[in-house]
Order: sequence, then structure tokens, then C-alpha cells
Amino acid sequence: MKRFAPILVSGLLAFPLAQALAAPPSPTPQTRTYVSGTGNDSNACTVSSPCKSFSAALALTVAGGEIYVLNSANYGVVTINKAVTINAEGATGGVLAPSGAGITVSAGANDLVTLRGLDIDGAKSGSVGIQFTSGRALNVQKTTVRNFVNTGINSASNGTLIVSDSAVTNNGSNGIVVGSGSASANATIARVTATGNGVGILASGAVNVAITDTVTGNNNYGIGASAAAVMVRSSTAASNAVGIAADGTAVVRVSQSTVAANGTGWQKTNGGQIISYGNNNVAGNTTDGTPSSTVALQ
Amino acid sequence: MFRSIGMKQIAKSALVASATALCFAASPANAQASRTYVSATGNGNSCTAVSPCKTLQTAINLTAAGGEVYVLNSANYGPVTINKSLTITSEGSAAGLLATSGAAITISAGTTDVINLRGLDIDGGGTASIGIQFTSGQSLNIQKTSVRNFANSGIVFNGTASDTLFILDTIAANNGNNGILVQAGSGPVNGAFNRITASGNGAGILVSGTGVTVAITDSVLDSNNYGIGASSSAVLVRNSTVAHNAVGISADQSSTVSVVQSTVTGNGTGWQATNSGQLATYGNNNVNGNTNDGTPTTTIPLE
Repeated sequence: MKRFAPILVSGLLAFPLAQALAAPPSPTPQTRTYVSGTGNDSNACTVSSPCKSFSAALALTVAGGEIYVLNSANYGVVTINKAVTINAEGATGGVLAPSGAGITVSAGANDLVTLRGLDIDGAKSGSVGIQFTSGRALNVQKTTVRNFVNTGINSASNGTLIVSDSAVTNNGSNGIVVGSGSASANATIARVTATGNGVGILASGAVNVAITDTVTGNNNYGIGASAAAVMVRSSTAASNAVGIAADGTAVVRVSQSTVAANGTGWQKTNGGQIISYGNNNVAGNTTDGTPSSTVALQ
Repeated sequence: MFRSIGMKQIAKSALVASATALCFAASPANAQASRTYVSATGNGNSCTAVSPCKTLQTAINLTAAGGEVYVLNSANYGPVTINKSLTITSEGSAAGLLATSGAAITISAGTTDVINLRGLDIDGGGTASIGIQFTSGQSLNIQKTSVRNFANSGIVFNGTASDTLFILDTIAANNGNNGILVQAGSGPVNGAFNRITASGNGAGILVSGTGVTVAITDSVLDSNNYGIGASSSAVLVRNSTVAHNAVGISADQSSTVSVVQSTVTGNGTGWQATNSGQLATYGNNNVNGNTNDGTPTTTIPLE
């Protein structure tokens, strides 16, 4: 009898072990998934069993759902191919991207993608922080994008880009670029700080960009427009080589804004126009520059 | 002997009874607390900080009128109905409310009740009707909240006499009809919205009905059919950006919309007045770069 006992026990153990191994292979996708710094990507990405990476969570998130960040950590690069919200309210959703893009948004024509509370770092070797390739709209809130060799936020989509309460810092080419390679991208940028980039905010091509309550500083160009329409209000361009630049056929309208301590305050080149509403403060630049024309407030 | 045994039995059952009574008295499950708690991993039924509940509705039911529900971490807690003065606070986490039909939050409270909602993340998945529906109460305050993907509207405020709606730091996106809709009931209704982002809705903010007055400041209205719409109401817009909508600002049906220090650009039509609506400018706005800028009906001096 004593000899049989261990065999019986191991027989009992073997059965649940087999069950346990068979159970986890395909967790059901959820409307809400969770990531945690102490999570594991073999988990089902539930709140009690969170995953460790955005890409694992996204794979288990149904279209239109949310990924919640439970605590501050690095959650890795991710390509977003559907409508989704990544929400790191109360924590820092870190994305470290030493190569390529931190977040690629390549979604459907009706898809809204929302990113909130992320901290995206290119470590001076990654190319682009947020690459918006396709989708109906991308909303970026309370997010920091820095240290990319090329660009912080690159909108090459026909969709709408809205960036608010965010910072783009120390990116080699551009902090934010709207319209790279696209026909009709629009963007609204509110309460953004763009510092230490090649161009803080660049609008390029047939795009329309509204910029309000935004600070650009220590860039080669604070705000640059090339063949684009840009409206700047209640914003500050300071300590840039050039504060506001309109090149090509760009039209940049400026209202209630401060342009100070730049090499050149505002400049127009190659037929670009800077149109002032006559209510700006452009002073204390090495060369203040002159607007192309003044337009009446309405 | 029989008598003595009987006495013992009576004594025992009395002890049991009093212990049971103590037990009931000690259990908070039947008491309403002024402060309750929810957590993603909660499984309590008392909704205390050490034994939080898992759904907001359970916590609300156990919260005394005028009390608070604290959200301890990010998770899905909804949907709920609120029928009394109450505060839901989710500071430092996202209090998710996912609705697949009907309304995520229904507020059907008493005429003197004040409801505060802070830090919520409300999603309709494209099928639910309304994110926050206010049908009765005295005042609703919404802060740091996102409301998106509702088939009908993000926030619907059906105010009655003297009801007020204050919204701060809030996002309404991708709702079929309206991001925020304020409607008149019997008597005046007032609202003030600050730092709203409304994008991808039918109308970003729609203010409708005689006696409704709403002030919109420091807000962004982008990529809606109508950025700001007013019908038979009064709306003041200041320091706001209205861009990339089919129509930026619309004053319809005898409403008055006054616009100051705002940007209206990249829209199909910048601003328009229709059906005896009044579009009044303070003369210090930036309305250019629209397919058709449009013209205000009057210019009024700053005071």
C-alpha cells in the first residue's frame, strides 16, 4: 500500500497539470485590457492578470476598446491597426524606441485612435515617436515625445491629428510635422510645448493647421510652414533661430502671440506669406522681421 | 430540573440573539457610508477602502446622499444610475464605464441634488446611445472626463428650471449626433464649458432651446459637422479654436452666438447665421482660411 501512494498522488497531480497547460493558449479578446510593469505577456491582459507590453494587450483588445496602464513602466513599441484608446491616466505609459517608430498608427479609414499619458523616448537613435500613417483621427493627450533622430509626431495620414497638453522635445528634424507625404491632413495643436527640435511644428503641403496656446523654443524654426495654411493664436515663439517661418506658398496667420528673443522673429521666403492680425508682440529678436500683410480682426 | 434546563436554553438563545444583533450592527453592508471605494480587484460588498467593491453601482447604492465614491485604480466600473447628490472621483486613474446599450451614466436625481464626476473614461463602443444623460437634478459638474463612441451623444443635459452644467478639461469624441448637447426644459438652464476638446461628432457642442445660456472658453472644436451649434439659445465663445468642421459656428433659429478672441479656420463654412439667428462678433476674432469664411450679423463693443 505504501508503494502505491506516491503513484496515486502523482497521477492526481498530472491531470490538473495537463489541464492547466491546455487552458491558456487563446484568451478571449476584451473591450478593456490592462498592462502593468509587473505583468506578463502570456497573461490574458485582464486587470488581475495584466500583460507587460502594449503589443500583447493590443492583440487582445477588440476594435474600439481600451488599453489601461496600471502603473508607470516601459511597455514597448506598438503598431496600432484598429480603433483603440491607450489610457495611462495617473501613470506614465512609457514607450522606449531605440530604433524605428515608437507607435505606428496604421488604422482603418473610420478608426479613432486615442493616446493619453504616454512618455515616448527615442534614445537618440529611434526614428519617429508617433507615426500616423492612416486612420480617421488620432488624438494625443498629455503625452511627451522626445529624443528621436527624425520626428516626434509625424502625421502622414489624411486623418485629423489633435495634439493637446503635450510636449515634443529634442527631436532631430521636427517636433510635430503635419502633411509629410499626404494630400489633405488637418491638425489642431493646443497647449503644446515644442523645444529643442529642428522645427518645433512643421506644416507641409496642402494641410491646414490651427495652433493655440502653444510654446515653441530653442528650435531652429519654432513654427514652419511650407505650402500650407497655418493659424497661430495665443502662442509664444521664443529663443528659436527663426520664430515663425512661411515658405513656398504657405500662408501663416498670427494673432495675439508673442515672438521674442529669436534670431529672426518672423520671416517669409519664396512667396510664403505671414499675415498679422495686428495684435502680436514681436520684439527683442535680433531681427524682428516684418509680416507680409495685416488683416483685420473679425 | 426541567425548569432549570429551560432557563439555560433561554439564556443561550438570548446570547445568540444578541450576538447576531451585534453582528448585524457591525456589518457595514446595510449602512450607507459618506465615502465608498471601488477597485478593479474589489470583491467586497461593503465598499470600504480595505474591502472595496467592483462596480460603481454597488458603491453608489451604499453611499449616503452627498457622499463620495473614490476610484482606487483604472478599470471598468459601469454603467450606473445616480439618483442623489453624489461625487465620483477618480484622481490618478481612469474610471472606465463601458456601455453597449442605453446610457453609461444616467442622472435622475432630486431637484436640489448636485452631482460631481471627475476622471471618468466613458466608451459607448459605437452602439450605446448616450455617455452621460442628465434628466433631473440641480447641478452637474464634469471634470477630466472622456466620452466617446456613442451612437447618439456624449453628454446630454436635459435641464429644467435653473439647472446648471459645468464641464472642465473634458473630451467628447466620435459621437454620432452631438459631443455635448444642452437642452432646455421648463425655465432657464446655464452652462459653462472650459477646455473642452470635441472632435469627430455630429455637432461638437449643441445648445438648444429658449432660456439656455452656455459659455464656452479655451476649447477646441475639430472635425465635426458643426463645431458649435446654437438653436433658440444664447452662446458665448471665447479663446477657442474652431477648425476643420463642415460648419465652424452656427447660430440658428433666433439664437445669439457671441464670439470673442477665437480662431475659426479650415472649416467649410467658418461662421453662419440662419433662420434669424444672430452671430455677434466682438471684432477680435481670426476667421480666415475657411472655404467660405462667412460673415457675422453684428459687431458689438467689448465692455
